[in-house]
Amino acid sequence: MKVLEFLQKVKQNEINIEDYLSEIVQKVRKINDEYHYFNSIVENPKPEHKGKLFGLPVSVKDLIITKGIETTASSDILKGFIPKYDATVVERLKNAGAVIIGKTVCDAFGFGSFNLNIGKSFQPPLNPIDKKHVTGGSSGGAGGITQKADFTHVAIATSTGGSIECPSAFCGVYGFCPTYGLVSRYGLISYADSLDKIGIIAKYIEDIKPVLKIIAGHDEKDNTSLSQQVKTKEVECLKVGIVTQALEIVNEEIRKAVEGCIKKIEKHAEIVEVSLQKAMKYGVATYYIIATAEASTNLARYCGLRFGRNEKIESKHFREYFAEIRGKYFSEEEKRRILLGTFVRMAGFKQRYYVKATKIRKLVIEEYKQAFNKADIILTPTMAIFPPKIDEVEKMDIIDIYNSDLLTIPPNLAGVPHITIPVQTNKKFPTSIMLCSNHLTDYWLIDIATKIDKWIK
Amino acid sequence: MTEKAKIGLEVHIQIKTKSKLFCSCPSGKSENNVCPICLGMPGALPTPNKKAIEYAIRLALALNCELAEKIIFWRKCYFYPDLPKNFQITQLEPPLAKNGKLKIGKKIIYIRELHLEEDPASITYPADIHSSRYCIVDHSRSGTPLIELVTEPCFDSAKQCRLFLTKLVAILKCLKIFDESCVLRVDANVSLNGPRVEIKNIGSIKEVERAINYEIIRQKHFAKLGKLKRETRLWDSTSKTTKPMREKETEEEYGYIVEPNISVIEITKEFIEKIKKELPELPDQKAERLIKQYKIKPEFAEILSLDYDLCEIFENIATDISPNLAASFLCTEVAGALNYEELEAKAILDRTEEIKELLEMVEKNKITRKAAKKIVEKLISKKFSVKQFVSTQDMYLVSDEKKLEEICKKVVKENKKAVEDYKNGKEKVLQFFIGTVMKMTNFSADPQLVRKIILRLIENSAN
Amino acid sequence: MSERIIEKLCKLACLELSEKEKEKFEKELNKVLDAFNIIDEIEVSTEPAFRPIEEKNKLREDVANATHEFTELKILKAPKTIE
Repeated sequence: MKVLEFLQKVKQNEINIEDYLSEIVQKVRKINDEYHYFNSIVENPKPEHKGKLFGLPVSVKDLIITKGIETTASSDILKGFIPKYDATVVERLKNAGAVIIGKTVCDAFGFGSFNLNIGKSFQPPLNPIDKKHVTGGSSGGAGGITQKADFTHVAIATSTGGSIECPSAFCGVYGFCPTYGLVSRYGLISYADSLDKIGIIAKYIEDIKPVLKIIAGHDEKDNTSLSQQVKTKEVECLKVGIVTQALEIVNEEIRKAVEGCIKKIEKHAEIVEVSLQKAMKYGVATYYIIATAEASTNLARYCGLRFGRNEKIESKHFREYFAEIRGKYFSEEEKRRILLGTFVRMAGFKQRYYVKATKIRKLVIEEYKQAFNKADIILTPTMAIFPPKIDEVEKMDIIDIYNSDLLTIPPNLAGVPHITIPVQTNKKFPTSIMLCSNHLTDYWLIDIATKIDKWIK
Repeated sequence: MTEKAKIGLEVHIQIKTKSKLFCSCPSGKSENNVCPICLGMPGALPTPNKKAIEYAIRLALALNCELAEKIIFWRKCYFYPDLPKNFQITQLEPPLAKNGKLKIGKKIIYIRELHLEEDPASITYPADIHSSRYCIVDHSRSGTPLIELVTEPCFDSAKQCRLFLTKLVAILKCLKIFDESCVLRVDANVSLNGPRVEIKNIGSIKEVERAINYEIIRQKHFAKLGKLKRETRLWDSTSKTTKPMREKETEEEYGYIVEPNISVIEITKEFIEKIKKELPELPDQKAERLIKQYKIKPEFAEILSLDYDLCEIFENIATDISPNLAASFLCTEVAGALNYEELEAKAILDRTEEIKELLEMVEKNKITRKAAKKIVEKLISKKFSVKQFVSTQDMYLVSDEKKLEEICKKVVKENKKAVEDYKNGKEKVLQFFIGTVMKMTNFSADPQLVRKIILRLIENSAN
Repeated sequence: MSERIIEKLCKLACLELSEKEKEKFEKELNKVLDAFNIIDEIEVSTEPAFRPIEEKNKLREDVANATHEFTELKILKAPKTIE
């Protein structure tokens, strides 16, 4: 049942919220035993307020702070952390009557594309279509539960370089990532603050807008939250931009599926060629430099004091204590990104890497602006590959892993809104197309994507 | 041969805002003044305080600095238990302001730059620092707005540094961005044409002078031994010495990046103009005005211009009594007494009326200035009615010649040796006689009259 | 990236690694940096972009609000700062 229909039925007392929610908890537990989508499940979820989303079950990625519910970022170093405050999105959802049912697993601090980078206290989520495969990451739990749930539910997820898009594609659901700054980041555990966004994963494309309307909008607790209003757009004949280069690098089956979509869209819109040459060529390096530079400073605060893990401090020098705790509880990928991020901002290397990357980022943003002079939206495949098997990822080279974000990184670097639509293929797994549009045209993009979703079905 | 010292200062000034630099917690002493932001908790984000930025610009303008066009905050990354995020939000490039100047007498002190940053928490030890098995971090201070001001190495003495800091504090108070509850911490770079030594953690202006003087002597001594090296030392206010800090494992390496969570802040011309218009009278302007308006001596005008509260007292009483008397009494007797008791003029602002009454009595010859001095020494620690005090202590001026002559006779008689000394040309002895009589009369004797009588008595005394 | 640099990074990042980890990361980070060096190809003369969209002059009014929920964290024991 879609969100709006569900809300209507709740309003008209056709659905008893209490029964519905306790039934959901049973189902979630069952799914979780098999697929591991949740780090924690709320015991007796119930709405705290009346509002526009009264009774709507929502899962929240465990990278977002929830008052009274353990929040871990799927990292051992934060295990046991029960915050006394709420993220702004959580506060807004609760005020609108939505109900938090649990915290979904993700790559630790959002560091990953396959949701296998998790602390020892956590279990990797399994692909809802075939358990031997990954869900994608970092919002793997959010993608998996959205596909698997046979009840009305929306997942709150986050993206820094593709963490909404990738699991949406791998799990066959819709993912939406807004303009940078449209949704407040207050209470989102920072991975890379200048790239982090909170967005939505949903089973139906129509489910995105009612939730976005609640969580979007200026928040004075987040200094980068935008005060500008979202714009609407009047388009006579929709121009859809295609990036040829993006089609050339993807798996054969994926390319065929995406080309099939383009053919169908062509009946309703004008297809134009756009270039994202710099974004495609330098995007991955630029992204990983900026993201790890910021991440390595954000993760400095986890040192066995104040929150999360702590151990006996007596008789130890702080350097020894901090280094020990951090060495013990950070997982491999957390360590890798800390080292890399510390390196790219170190004296002697900072200009070549960190400073240069912030400048290339400017070029990428400009490149998008130019592309949007030619096209209203840009269409690319979301992922170049199908979800790999878990043991295949373990054999993958680190460069190949980082390169798997190649298509999702550019819109994330530019902070433009983007949405992914699942597309059927001739294989076991579906794939996905990604549509992006100019800054602050978020609602318009969702409306266009809803039409395109119908055209390609 | 004495080498000329070259000294530069790095001053950290806590400024008096209601809330902290990046969160709404009350700044300064308060019961509940920590939140996720100043505790560095996950997901918490900083929001910059408008007043703190305005205050820093006020100071920059008062010090004739060039202002940056925009403010960008950076993360200065290093690990320390007092730093909740293990990075400090500060400024790197551009600094908020640079190339300032401040005149100290005839010397110009050049200010390299000043910028805003957050204060870390504070660390104490449960017992002796070396035997404690852990430390205690108090987050009350975490996130307090600080202005860091860096001078060029243009001082050549510790005294000059003291004068500069005194004037700086006067300016800060004038600008109403600083008061007694705010803390000033200083690091000093000292070199005698040799290696540069940095002294950290000096907590007051007096200590700055002591620390630098100590360091100059230490460096001269070590230079002779050929053992002087470039290092960072810590000022220990208990032993009044500088001590070497443990060598750092790595050279200073802070891996600065831009703080992504704070948007760029433009310092617009309109904003600067608005702050300029609201700037109060600064010490130099004040001194000039005091001289013009009250015709007082320049040295008194300077002292008053540098002590905001003392000047408040002055301007409040100078309309009723002679400005020259008021200025000289405040700058010598009152300032001396305050200094002795280690008090600030602010502590006696509520005794302005009493000081005025005292000086009125001096002016009308009802009490001696000496008596006024004695009374004011008591008055600074406790407020009381001076008129009542004068009458109960019998301090009204005595000009009864007969009565005084009796006392004087007694004094001369009891100090025959002193009389001899005077006759042998030791004229200073006269002061001793007058002083003794004054003490015996509880400072009520008319000193001129006493002088006359004493001289006469000595003349007439038998050889 | 050399052994010396890995050691330095561990110090700067306050991170204890085993010898095995150090070796592995040294190899991997070298590969990653080789891949990153693609950015040497491009000349940039633009200003940096610190965020995708920049809204300027967002300042908070100086109003104090005391919160009491976190007071228990105000004073904490921590490891020593001297050996």
